[in-house]
Amino acid sequence: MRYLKTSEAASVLNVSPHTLRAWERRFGYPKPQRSAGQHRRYTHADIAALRDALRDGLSISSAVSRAREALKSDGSSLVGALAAFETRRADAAMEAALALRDLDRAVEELLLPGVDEMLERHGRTSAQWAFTAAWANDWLRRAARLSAPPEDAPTALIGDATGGELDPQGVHVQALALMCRRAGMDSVRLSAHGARDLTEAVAALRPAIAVVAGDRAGSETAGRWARAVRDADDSLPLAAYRQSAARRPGMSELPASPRAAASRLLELLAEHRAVARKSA
Amino acid sequence: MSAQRAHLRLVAATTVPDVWFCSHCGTRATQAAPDARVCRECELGLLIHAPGDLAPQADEPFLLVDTALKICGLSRGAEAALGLAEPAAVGLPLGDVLVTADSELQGAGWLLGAIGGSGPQRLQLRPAGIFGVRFDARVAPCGPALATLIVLG
Repeated sequence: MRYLKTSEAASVLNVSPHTLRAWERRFGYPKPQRSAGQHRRYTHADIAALRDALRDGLSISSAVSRAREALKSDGSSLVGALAAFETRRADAAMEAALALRDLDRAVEELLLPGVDEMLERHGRTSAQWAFTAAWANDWLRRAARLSAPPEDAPTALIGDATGGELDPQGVHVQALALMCRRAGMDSVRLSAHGARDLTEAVAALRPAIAVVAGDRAGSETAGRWARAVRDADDSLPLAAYRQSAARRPGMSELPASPRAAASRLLELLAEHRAVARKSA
Repeated sequence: MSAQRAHLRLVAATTVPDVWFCSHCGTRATQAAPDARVCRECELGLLIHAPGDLAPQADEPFLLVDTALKICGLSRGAEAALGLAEPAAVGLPLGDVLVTADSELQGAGWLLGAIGGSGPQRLQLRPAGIFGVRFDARVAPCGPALATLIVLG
């Protein structure tokens, strides 16, 4: 993924950096990411799409609209490939998306909406959904393997309380595991059905934080797993992801977006460590 | 040749040259064919061209409509006159925003007639759903991409 500084992006568009910032305020585009030093950086794909749209545009608003459409149009390729049971074409659609945006955005803007659309069109009991769920989980697992966290990365222990491979929540939980790795955290996913001897697992894995994810396996199962974590280590921060049941006391609720949820986990971890340092 | 016979005679061309102006602030470009598309005055519009006699004068609100009869640009003055921000207006069907005050002309077909020359290039318009407000509008082709300019006098 190629990024441009503000001055470079402005040069491509033949405008001043001030103009670029004015467009961001008025049109919400191009929307930059921030570097570690909080400097704006633009994806080359966003700037190139806008440059092309400005050539024949009649207004900046209409050029922005066309640039956004150009970036979105790969969505229909993925859904078409999944509906046709074509693994290679679905992989190619994701590859094409990765040429225009980073992995986090490709998952949030293309893969997950594509998966949701397939579920809505075909339903949970369809072969199309079974294919889609299998493909999406496999793709996310492959991406996670390529996103190795650093050696001393903290570990998030994820209690999987989803309803199995065909459960739509499962794809989102797999995406969460990927986003944790991308955010610099390792993750271990254990079925929430396996609550017995969790103390041994916690002692061996030494997670920095635990997450109960999904609830299609039943709120009893999810609750039992959460209690087992508390029994193993009551100082471990506990969070809930994609739980439709009433919020459990002492558990932080994570946002639905896997990327936002991973960021929130890091925040919770930092807060927990700060409190632990104060009381030490 | 007798005075009663029809004959041809040379007449001077009456085509008015195009002028370039900003799609947002309406400021006219100083160059005949500007090299930069983005308006240097306001930075929020692109330079477009239309026949000089129909292009907007200073402070005249105007809007741009594409070949699908959808709004593709709204000047600063038109934003104020219509109570609509350009980013929200782009993509809306013209008929959702402006209609003719002439009840004889239905739908947005009046615009097609105005562009094609078979209908009036000057007509009375009103905001959709609002009575009692009228604009003396004039219609012209504009570019660089094929579109229609509607100036709300």
